[in-house]
Amino acid sequence: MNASSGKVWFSTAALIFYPLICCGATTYFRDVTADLGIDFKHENDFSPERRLVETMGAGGALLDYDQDGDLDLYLAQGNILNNPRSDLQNRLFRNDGHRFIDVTETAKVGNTGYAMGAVSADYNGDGFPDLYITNLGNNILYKNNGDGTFTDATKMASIESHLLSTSAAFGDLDLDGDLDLYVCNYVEYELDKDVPCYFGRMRIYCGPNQYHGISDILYRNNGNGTFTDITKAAGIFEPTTRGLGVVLTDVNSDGLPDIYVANDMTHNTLFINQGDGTFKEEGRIRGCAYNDDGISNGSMGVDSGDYDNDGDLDLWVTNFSEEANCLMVNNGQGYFDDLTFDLGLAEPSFQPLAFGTRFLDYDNNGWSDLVIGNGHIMDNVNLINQLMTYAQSLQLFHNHNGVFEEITNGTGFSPGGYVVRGLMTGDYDNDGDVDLFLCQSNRPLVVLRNEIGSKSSWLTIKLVSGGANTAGIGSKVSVTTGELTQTREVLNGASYLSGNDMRLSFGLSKAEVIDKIEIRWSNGQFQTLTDVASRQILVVYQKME
Amino acid sequence: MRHLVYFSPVFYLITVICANNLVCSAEVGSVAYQVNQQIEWVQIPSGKFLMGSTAEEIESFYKEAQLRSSTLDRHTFEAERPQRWVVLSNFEISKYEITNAQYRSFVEATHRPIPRGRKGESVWQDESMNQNHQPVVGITWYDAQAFAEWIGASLPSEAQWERVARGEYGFRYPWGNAPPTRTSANFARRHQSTVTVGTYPEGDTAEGVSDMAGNVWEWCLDAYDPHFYATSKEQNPVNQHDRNFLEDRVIRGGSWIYGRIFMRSALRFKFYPLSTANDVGFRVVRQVANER
Repeated sequence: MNASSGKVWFSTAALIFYPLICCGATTYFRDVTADLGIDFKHENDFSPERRLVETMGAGGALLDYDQDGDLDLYLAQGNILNNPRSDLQNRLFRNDGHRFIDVTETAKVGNTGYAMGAVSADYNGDGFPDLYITNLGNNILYKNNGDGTFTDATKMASIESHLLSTSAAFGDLDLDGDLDLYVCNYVEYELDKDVPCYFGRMRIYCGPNQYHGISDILYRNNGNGTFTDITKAAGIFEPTTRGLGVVLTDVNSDGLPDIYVANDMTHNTLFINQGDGTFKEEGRIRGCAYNDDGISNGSMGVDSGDYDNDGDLDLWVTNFSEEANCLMVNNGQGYFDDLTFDLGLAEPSFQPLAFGTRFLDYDNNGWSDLVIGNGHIMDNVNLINQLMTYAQSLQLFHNHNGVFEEITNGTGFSPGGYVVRGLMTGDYDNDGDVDLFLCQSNRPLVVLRNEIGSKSSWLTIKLVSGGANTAGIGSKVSVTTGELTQTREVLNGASYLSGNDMRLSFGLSKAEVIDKIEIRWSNGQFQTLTDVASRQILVVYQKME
Repeated sequence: MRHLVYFSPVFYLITVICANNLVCSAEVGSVAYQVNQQIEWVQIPSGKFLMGSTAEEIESFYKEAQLRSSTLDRHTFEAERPQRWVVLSNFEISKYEITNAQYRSFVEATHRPIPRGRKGESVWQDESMNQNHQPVVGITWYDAQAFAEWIGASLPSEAQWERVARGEYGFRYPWGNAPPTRTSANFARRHQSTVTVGTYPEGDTAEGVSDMAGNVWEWCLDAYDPHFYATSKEQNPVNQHDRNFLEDRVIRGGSWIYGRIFMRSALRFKFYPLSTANDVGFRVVRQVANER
């Protein structure tokens, strides 16, 4: 063998073994649910009558309720609709660093309502994240007592609601320093008056158009532990929409949080913050009410993120089966173009029925990828359309400099699929990459640990504000390494029925030092850090002026 | 009674004769002449262009339509076949869609009925649609052609319309091959109405014609025949054979209501000639000055 043939052998071997060399022969994500000791199965009370609410939930929230530095897990549970069982309750799992321990009873957060979703934020500014749970019926506000227990503060906070609520999000919408609350409501619904629908003689779940939409609710935080419903006064009242997902995000970069709502079969709504406590609905003129076919989709999940690293926040919405999801690209002033088809996201998303979703940089290469949780609402859908299944693939789209490619195969996701509703993202093991929590309908929770992200350089930023908005919700952070600047916003809510890790995760690829971190705090104050080391969870305290 | 005249067979006969450019022209000094002079005309040189789409393109357009949950069937796209060379004489086309102000002059001079909606209601009562420089909507094919003839012009043939929209090089959209955006056209219900003509200069054709995609569908002269491309002549084709006055006519270009797939310049669509809609208008063509 001469020298040149040796080179050929080496090159060929390198190609053959590249995947093993590159990625340590691992898949991207690994199911660690059992390892973590989480035994949670959602109960939707499936019935032959196929009632609407059986299809909808549920979700949950990631929060560090005991402030020990890692993410704990709260899960929303359904129940038996006509005969609720006390053992079917929402559950709180404390992360002890290795496993998740059920602390529901101790923490007193085991509400037994038919729960939809949950979000967590420190509404009273005491430094401990509280919980808000949406239900079919009475929503619940749990105040964190700071000692490992919670108190049901719903009545005390004047925040009682008895509608069919779905997603919710906290944010300082009036810029008075404390957190207000936006709650999506779906439709007028009474269990015993649910509508029967059929396919031939087969009972099926009805579509949303069989139900009247209802307005969402905006609660203003009065700063004294109570809230006031300001829906109409604030210009939020939209009496016919069917709200399912919400993200509070500053789309026009004016420092004021706006509200974008994914509605089911009605136009999606974008409420632009006027800076005086009121909002104007401008979804149509700004190009994010419909897709670029002028169609109101069956929209479920939602997120905002700077997928193209141009400094503004783009909007992402997941939709019903046989509707492409929708990526609306921001022009920098809060006007959008639907570029879903042009960026590789339409065809792969056409068949699945999508719910929870997030932007995330799963491989920490500096570009926000997308994860989409799918699962049909009809358990018998294959009897109607043989191409469709109830359980569907979780989808991961890799972002190549602003263009997406589906890489679901080889990711470690279950080949049998999932029936995802809520989907949470967060770094539960604090290793620098983003893990996934899949809330399935009538099936067990699944935790997928990210196995590859921490191989690239990373930085996680936790903001601690000096005011009542302790987590700095609504603050915007830009991280610059070399030529690349990434922008993230501290979001509460987003996805579907879910509350996510509010720490900001930045992938840095090979950069080991961050040139500059610029923070625009939610109160408008700026703060800059330079020459910051990578591979750390950086806690930034706001210097109050 | 006046209303009846406009819907009588005699009226249609007159319109058909005029549509064949046999008679009808605006008298110098008349209101019609003045309107003609107010219109900004764009010259389109004579020449050859590729009209229609290939089988491969049609397959791809149809697939995209399915992914967009469109109800458009394959036949709609098949009507763009076969792609073939067409030779057109030079002509002039109005830079903009005909506006409410221009059409108002016509109504006042001729006592033609004002634009009306599907149920006969006056479109000009709707403040979102009645501004002077918005395109006129709520007019039938016969209204549109009557206006054109009043000023000594005509509706564009389908071939003329496609040549203008796709340009010499056969672009997918008036501005090129890039997809429509919020700066190139009024489409997909972003505005809840028509907008002032010429609002989207980025969406102009290379020759400077505005709003060929979106804002309003535009009536063409031709009767709609999905098989017309297979049999039509190469030189100045227009489908007027065996014209039945109730036969669907071609409309082109999409509208403020319709989405991206309807913006494509080769897409052929049809509309009942006596129907009106709040997103169907028109523009006009005329022979070049030295040939008139």
